[in-house]
Amino acid sequence: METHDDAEQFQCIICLELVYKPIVHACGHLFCFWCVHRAMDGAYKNLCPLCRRPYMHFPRICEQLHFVLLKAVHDKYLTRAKEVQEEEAQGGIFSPEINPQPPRIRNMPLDIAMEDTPPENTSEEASSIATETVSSSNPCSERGSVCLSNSASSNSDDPNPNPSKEADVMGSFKGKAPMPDEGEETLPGGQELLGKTENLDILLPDLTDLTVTTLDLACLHCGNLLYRPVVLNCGHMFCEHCVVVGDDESVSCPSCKAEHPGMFPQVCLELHHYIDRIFPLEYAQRSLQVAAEERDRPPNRPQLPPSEPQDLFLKSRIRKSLPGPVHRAVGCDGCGMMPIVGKRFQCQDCPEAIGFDLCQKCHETGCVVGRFNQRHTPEHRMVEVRLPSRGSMGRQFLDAMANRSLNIMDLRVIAEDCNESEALQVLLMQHRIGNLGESPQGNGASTLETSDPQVAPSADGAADGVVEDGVREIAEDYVLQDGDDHHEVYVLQDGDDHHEAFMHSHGEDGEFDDHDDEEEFEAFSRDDEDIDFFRVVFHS
Amino acid sequence: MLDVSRVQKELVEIERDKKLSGVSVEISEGDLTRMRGTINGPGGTPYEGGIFIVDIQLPSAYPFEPPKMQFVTKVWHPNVSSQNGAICLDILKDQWSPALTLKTALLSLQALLSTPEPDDPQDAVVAQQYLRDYATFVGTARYWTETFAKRGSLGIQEKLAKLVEMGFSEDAAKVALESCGGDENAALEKLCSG
Repeated sequence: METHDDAEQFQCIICLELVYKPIVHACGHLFCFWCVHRAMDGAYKNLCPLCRRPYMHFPRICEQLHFVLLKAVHDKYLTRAKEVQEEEAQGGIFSPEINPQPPRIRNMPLDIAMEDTPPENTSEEASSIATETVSSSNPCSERGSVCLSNSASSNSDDPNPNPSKEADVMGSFKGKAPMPDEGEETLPGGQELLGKTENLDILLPDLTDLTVTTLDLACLHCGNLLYRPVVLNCGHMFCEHCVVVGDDESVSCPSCKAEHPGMFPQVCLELHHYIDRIFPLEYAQRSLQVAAEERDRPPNRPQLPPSEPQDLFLKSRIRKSLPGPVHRAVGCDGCGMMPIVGKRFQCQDCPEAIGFDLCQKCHETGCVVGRFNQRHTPEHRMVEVRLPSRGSMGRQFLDAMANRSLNIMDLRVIAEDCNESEALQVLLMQHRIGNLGESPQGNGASTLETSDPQVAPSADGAADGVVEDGVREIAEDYVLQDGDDHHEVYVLQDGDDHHEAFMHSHGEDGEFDDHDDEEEFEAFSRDDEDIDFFRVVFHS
Repeated sequence: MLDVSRVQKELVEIERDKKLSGVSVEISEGDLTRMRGTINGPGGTPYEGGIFIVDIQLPSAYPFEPPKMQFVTKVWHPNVSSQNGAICLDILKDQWSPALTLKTALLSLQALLSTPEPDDPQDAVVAQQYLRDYATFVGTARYWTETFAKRGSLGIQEKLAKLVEMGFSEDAAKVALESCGGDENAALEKLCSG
């Protein structure tokens, strides 16, 4: 067992530990489930921590790799599992349970699985069935008890502790209640698939044998040893050449048919090197085989992987050009899109702290398998969640400002949620006007003089680092201070309900550099009917 | 919640590699969120031979948020404030990635010392000088390195006193020292030759 090497090879670059519940991004980089989750921005830009490739979807766990690691670095992996479970119990949010069956069997018809199984493996495993079912119970129950006690504590507030929690760690497969399978394929046809899996239990490797076989590293599509492995958004792993680009340039999982959003998946190099190292002969053979195949039939792979509309949030600060409202910090449990853009549907019945949300597309397909450990069922009620209208948001925060019930951090949160003009207002508050409630009516000039040092950090920059950071962040986001350019914002308040904001721009060219089209920006600000509270006028 | 285990792993790695990397970190007062990093001034630059101390603060969301770093040692550099040591470096701000570590951040600071970015300045005065009068910039940077970043070597006042003792006027000695970046032997040569 090359435990040391393997553990080093599969180190998560974020936590610097052995990767646990591995997730492989489309760029081929490997991280822990929780590390990916924590590294996601939730507001607008998710970047791969290694290559900074922007992405919008939180991929599912690569179960096949999970089982490989469970064998290859068994003890260390279990230790990690225990650590993570303890952390999860503390936080009250749990990662998805992994079905005790490695994914390779369930999507393969029985006959193919039999054919593709190397004869020596079949016989080895078949023979192990008789003996191992009895003998394996010992080590299994021992390990199981550790994990069981863990799961009991972590599920203490859960009305239905799931029996497969221990299996999640152990990979044991005996006597478990049928669980909804990971992946979209479990939807209506799930029962049938599960039925098949039950029958195929006898083909599963027993984890008392911790040798990684070629079967553990078989492609879910061709059944051969994975060659240049790629992992799709659904967590399923294939040879690079087994993933094909459809006529409409979309990529779908050959196994579960789920759409793979974003760029064409890149080879997971850690796994590539690993397979090459432990099965050098077989891998070389596969290389020749694939090369021969591709000579006959050139692969339909995009030369330059299509980039997903990642710049959506980076480029268009103008919310209007987005396909729908942005539900910040909320991800779709079906496809993993985060934040959800467009309609958002929330489950009313899932008791888990993490909740269960779907984007419109996944809501229509009726996805039930969450990104976490939710036990969502089709019977649960889903309700559309609407963002508060912009006007009311502006009013809320103005009221709050007037009442002085907001601190600067709160304002920042609101600024992320509100549109351009409201963000300007936030800045305005912080820079110019201490307390609208106290500001004199009527004239802009006098309004400016009521600047309150407590809320106007620019007046007293070093006073509070937090405040300064908050301001800078918004300033960058909304391009109010851009190098040499200096944009001044003034608010005029006439009466109780009417406010006007003026923005003066001084700079080399006096333009809003980051806005490609200033005209559009202006038009947006003026025409957007949602803004009933503020009218923003720009002078350049 | 700070990822203590990761920080400890990072510290072990920094310690293991500190001879080769030229950067090191020590924890202040047993508090894992507060540290002092040291960077050896890169060779072939006005900062050569200096040892620069960096104050490091880890936010609770580290490594998902960048560490806060600031030079404690005074540095004459376009991207470092000559007043308070604040650093203008993208990876310590919006370009941070959780795959970066304290070590890579300190190495980036070291690289920043060798390749200033005067177009994105932290200290406008230094940046102006760098762009308009490079020779003076190098002289001042070397002088600051000698004065503030060298431990063990004589302080600038002592060097001055030494030259005055040799019979040169204080003003002339000071000018010579500054123009030679605080190198007393070069200053002596200059005074003698000229």
